[in-house]
Amino acid sequence: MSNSLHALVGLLDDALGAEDDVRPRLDDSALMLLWAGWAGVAGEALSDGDSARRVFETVGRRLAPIPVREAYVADAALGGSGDRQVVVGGLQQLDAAVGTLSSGKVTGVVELVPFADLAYEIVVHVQGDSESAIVSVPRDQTSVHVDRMRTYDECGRPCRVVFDGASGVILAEGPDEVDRLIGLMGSRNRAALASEAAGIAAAVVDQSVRYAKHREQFGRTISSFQAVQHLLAGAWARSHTLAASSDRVWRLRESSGIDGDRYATIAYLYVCRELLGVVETAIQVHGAIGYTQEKPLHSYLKRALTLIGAAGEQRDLLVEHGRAVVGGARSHVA
Amino acid sequence: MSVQSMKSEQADRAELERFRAGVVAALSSLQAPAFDGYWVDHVPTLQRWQQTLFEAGLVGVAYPEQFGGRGLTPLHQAVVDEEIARHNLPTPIGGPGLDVAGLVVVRHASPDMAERLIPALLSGRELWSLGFSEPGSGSDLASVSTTAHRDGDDFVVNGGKIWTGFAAYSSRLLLLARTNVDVPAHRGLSLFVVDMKTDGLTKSTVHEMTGEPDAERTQFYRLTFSDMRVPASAVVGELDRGWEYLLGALSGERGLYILRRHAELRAQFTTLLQAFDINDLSPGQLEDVARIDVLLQVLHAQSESTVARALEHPGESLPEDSADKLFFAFVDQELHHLAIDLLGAYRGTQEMTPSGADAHKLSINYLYSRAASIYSGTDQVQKNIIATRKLGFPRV
Repeated sequence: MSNSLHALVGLLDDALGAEDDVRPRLDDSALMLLWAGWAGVAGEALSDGDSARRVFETVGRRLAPIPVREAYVADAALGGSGDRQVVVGGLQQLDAAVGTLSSGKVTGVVELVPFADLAYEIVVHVQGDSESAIVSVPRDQTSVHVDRMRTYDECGRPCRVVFDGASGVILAEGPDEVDRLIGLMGSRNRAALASEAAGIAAAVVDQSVRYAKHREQFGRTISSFQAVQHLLAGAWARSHTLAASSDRVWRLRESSGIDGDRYATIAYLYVCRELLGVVETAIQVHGAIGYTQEKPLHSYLKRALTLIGAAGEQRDLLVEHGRAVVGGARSHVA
Repeated sequence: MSVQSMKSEQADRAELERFRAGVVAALSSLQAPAFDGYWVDHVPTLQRWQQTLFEAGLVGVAYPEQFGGRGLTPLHQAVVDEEIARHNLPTPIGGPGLDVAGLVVVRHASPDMAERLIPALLSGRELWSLGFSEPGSGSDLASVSTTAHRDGDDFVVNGGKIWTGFAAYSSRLLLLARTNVDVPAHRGLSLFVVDMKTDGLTKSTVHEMTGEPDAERTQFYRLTFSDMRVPASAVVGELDRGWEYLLGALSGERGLYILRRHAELRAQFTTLLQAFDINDLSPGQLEDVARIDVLLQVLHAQSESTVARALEHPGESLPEDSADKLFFAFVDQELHHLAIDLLGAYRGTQEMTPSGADAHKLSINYLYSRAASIYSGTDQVQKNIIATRKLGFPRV
């Protein structure tokens, strides 16, 4: 384990307690402390693909209640590597502008922006008078209003952000440059999501295996029932595949950027397909206690609900991808 | 993984890619046989194709050089199989004999026996059948009840086998029989190499669902042994150790199969899509197409992790192999659900659709996909393996 990843695990241990009893609810000052601590080591921790994979798998496994992924994505636009306390507005659909830019001022409303109330800057895609732009808007100005939105996801902290003629720094202008940045941010987001999901799947399977070996019913542990064994063997196999997919994303990003970007979308779509099912199986194995907040499984399920839409809606992406696949096969014939 | 082992893996991967390039070059210079219909009607043609592949150094690459192989690893063979599938070429027809029987012989039989049998197996001149499963012993293979009793210089075999492939064509049978009833079930089994023309051996067809109902030749046969006499020299290795020998070969069969299956399924998917016009597909069908592409790409990702595992643990059978088997069986069946959906009312027919899709072939492929979660260990057996060997649950 690299020193910086070790530091992240240490930060999470201190803030959250043991993995088996993850409690991602922290007060604001503890969150800021944790985020600032992470920002101090993020540059090194995310400096290469294999380290980044481990970081995001840890973020998922430990339900890290800070926007590690969102800051990493924002820094694609800022030219850094996740070491600033910055987030992105409209991350779920980056190609849609969330406001307007006129005379250097940003106006508009964007919802579901994670941690916008604690971030120093918010990166948004806006439409200018003649062309679109990517702008970084400092939060600490009277023309930026941030309200917390309600959620079951204890790690998400979504906010509604109103820009009312806010000042900002233009990071990119014009379709080519804006598309390039959107591509960079989207690819980072999906790659990180693939690994975050792999971490969640591994965590809930591990916890369920331990639970099944301990929980007794009908005079024996439930792990001795084949019905339970097969549920968990299937869930483990699916988590193994999510891990293989996570690994491939970062390998490809290192060896071939374009292939890595393409595969990031595939990996994200696979997450959308499988993640909920793995967590739901873990809850099923736990029985009634899995339905409560006595165990951390409910937190993983609520996190999974957020993640499967965090880089675009599956159905839209599938139709678009389906067209490309069929078109590709036909052109191969021609 | 240590830095040293990462470097070693990178070097091994580079060597493997150089080998792959050589395989691709060799394949591109070969002329594959063209044939229509079900493979069981074209066995001699496919035997000649295996001979061609053998002469190009592409059959039995993991077999020792002294027997006609190239002395490389099962991973190298898996790369060859993957490239054959990727190039949409017929796989060597001697598959079960090559993947299982021959490996048992070279690992455990006497050198004389191996030298006598293996060259003909590799070249395709002789096909082998596997005599393991019985009507009462499927997933629970250790419970086989076919017996072999010593009688002078011979063993006398009684019992029966089922799911024996190639029996109409094969020259030899690798037979698993009980030779000792006084020890636990899996310790009293032995392997024999049996001439398929031996007196007392009779065969009858078992019609698989992909065949014609009244076909003379089929993929599977039922074998019956009535006082069949087999010489003691036909025993492979030591008596009563057949289970142990077999397990090693069967786990190898399962471990790297994902590479070839991924390539075969990708080729089938491409062929399927080429038969349909994008304008004929509904948004829902486009979604389904995308879902299959996602599954195939993730299957490729998983096959890469399998390669890494094979490089790190050469020759070992690991529970991750069972996860591979579960996943490619699932992808196979999902792909063929898409195929029968796209066929519309032509699904299940033996006709061409108006758009030019071969409903006959696609229907056969769909039917065959139902076997994916059954052959080489059912899904349930794979989950048992994961549950006990990976998750540490008790045997049920």
